[in-house]
Amino acid sequence: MSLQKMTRLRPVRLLSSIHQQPLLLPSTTALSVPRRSVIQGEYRRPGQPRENKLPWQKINFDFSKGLQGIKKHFALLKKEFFDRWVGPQGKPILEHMLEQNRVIWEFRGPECLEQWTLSSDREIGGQSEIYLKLGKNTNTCFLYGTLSSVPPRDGETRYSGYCTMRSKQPLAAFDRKEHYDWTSFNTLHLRVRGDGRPWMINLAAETYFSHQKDDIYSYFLYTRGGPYWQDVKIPFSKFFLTHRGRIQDDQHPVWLDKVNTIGFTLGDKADGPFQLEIDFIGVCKDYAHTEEFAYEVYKRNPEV
Amino acid sequence: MNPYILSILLFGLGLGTMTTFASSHWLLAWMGLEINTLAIIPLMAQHHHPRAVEAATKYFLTQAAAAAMLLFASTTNAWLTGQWDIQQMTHPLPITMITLALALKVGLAPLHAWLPEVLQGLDLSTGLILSTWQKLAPFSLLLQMQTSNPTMLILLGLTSTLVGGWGGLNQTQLRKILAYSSIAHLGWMILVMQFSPSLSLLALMTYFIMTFSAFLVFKLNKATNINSLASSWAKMPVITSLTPLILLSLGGLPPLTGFLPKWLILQELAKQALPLTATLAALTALLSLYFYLRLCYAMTLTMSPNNLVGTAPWRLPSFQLTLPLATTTTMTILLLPLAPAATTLMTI
Repeated sequence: MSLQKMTRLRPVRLLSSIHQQPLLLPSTTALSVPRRSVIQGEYRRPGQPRENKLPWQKINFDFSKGLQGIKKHFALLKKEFFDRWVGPQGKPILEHMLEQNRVIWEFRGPECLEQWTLSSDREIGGQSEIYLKLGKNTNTCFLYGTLSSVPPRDGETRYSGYCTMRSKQPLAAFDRKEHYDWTSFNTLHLRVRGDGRPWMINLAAETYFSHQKDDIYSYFLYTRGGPYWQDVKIPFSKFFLTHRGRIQDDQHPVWLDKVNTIGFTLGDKADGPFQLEIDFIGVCKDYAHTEEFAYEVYKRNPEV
Repeated sequence: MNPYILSILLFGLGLGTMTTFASSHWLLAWMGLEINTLAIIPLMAQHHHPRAVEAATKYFLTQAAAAAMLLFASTTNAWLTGQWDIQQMTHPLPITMITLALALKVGLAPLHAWLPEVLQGLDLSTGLILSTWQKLAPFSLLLQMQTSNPTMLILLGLTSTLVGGWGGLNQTQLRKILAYSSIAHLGWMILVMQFSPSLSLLALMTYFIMTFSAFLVFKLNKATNINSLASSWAKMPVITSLTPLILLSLGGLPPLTGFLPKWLILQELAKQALPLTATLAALTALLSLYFYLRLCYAMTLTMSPNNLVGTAPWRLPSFQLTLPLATTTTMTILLLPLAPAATTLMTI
């Protein structure tokens, strides 16, 4: 547009026109090219929602929500302040010492479902689906969906077909990261009812370097189908280190003093529906289990 | 670790500290501090566990920043006053910067945030070296410097005692508890440094002995958190009965050794007309005493629920030498009657 035309526009539109102005070729009009196409890259991965909003259109200002947020965070801060007087991690020392079992996640109401994040290969353009709802007696969570290992047609993905549920990172006041401290325990205890599919349990601990971001400690969860509940106890010494799904040579036991999230992944290449019902996830201390690590620690530079 | 490499690193640690002790030029002192930092980094990361590497990285970054600030401050001093001598610093700006740099080196509040995380990522023996040996070289520099800012030192000291006490309250990990205890003790040392450097040296030496015995007890128990410490009564009852004395000595209770530096420091502060500072320091020591008492309680005054009481748990005999533990425990518990000798020897 020429300079004269631009000055006749109202200010908001002026900004939009400046936004688009250097991007458009003279022959194309504003409507045929999606906005921000050059800034964010031309190619949109299938499965990503189309974001046609300009930055200032995404603002969602709500005063009352802001006040609620402030109250919530200050309440958490006050709790953190006064918890120190009660004892470590807010519990009296005797309780901390006597604790042999602790239920970390249980699904007793719809607010418990908020603690979990679902994802599947739909994000990279696949066709698996996953949903989470409360079970029939509102005592359990019901994870269900369909697995489809048809890879997305984007030219670079060869395998696909995974569904996962991951817990959200616990947050302290003002959205600081909080970690689970499970050093008093040595076993993961879950009560599940599956359909016979093999799941993978992923523990993500706190890392420091950016290339450790996808370091996850995994172990298998073989579900037996059927109407009976299954009590699964997996010692933490059995968890092996993987990075982006690949088992690492350099193994070490998981340090339990800073655990961030737990997740369940299904990727068994069997297309079709799946279901998993979880009653609770807890940790317990098995005094009879004295193994420190189940795998041989890979010795680099062995003396020949 | 390869024994040759281990001995080179340990000799490097010794060399670094001795270089700093023997130096009167700031550049040589800085060099000694850098040798110390570099020698301990492989010791910290030797296990190649991500947390150990994280601890080594955090330690390196903080110590390098402190050393850079030290170098900058000493260069500024040379520029402003024309000389590099450690004991003849007169300009207040470089003195303040160097004090802050050395405070970051040893982990005084408010520059303490790295110490609990770094200690938590290390095994107990490297943590012991970090808590004891690595404090010697910066301390020697702090002792030799003239103070230009008495308020800052008192503030550093009081903040450290407060943070050391408050921060340790929430902990169940033993290494973090020892880190906060280190911060608190260093606070006490800094409080009195400008009035009586020999007293702060005495406090440092007693802190070394007490920390040594604490670390060695935890190492013998292979305990890294309170719950694993709580089952030590079934394995080694005699050490379990002596450990509360070590912990209470760390807390500064008479008639144990730990009372000696605290008493003399409070006396010195009162003589210097700082009664409020003395009161605040004594009150913050109560916070530290609380978590030491909690450790005593967990270890000896309760019977932890472990089902292996009747049968002795199968354990390989420990190859740890017990002589250092025996010596330092004896010194931790019984040195208070030597107070008159200690006071007469303080002539610095």
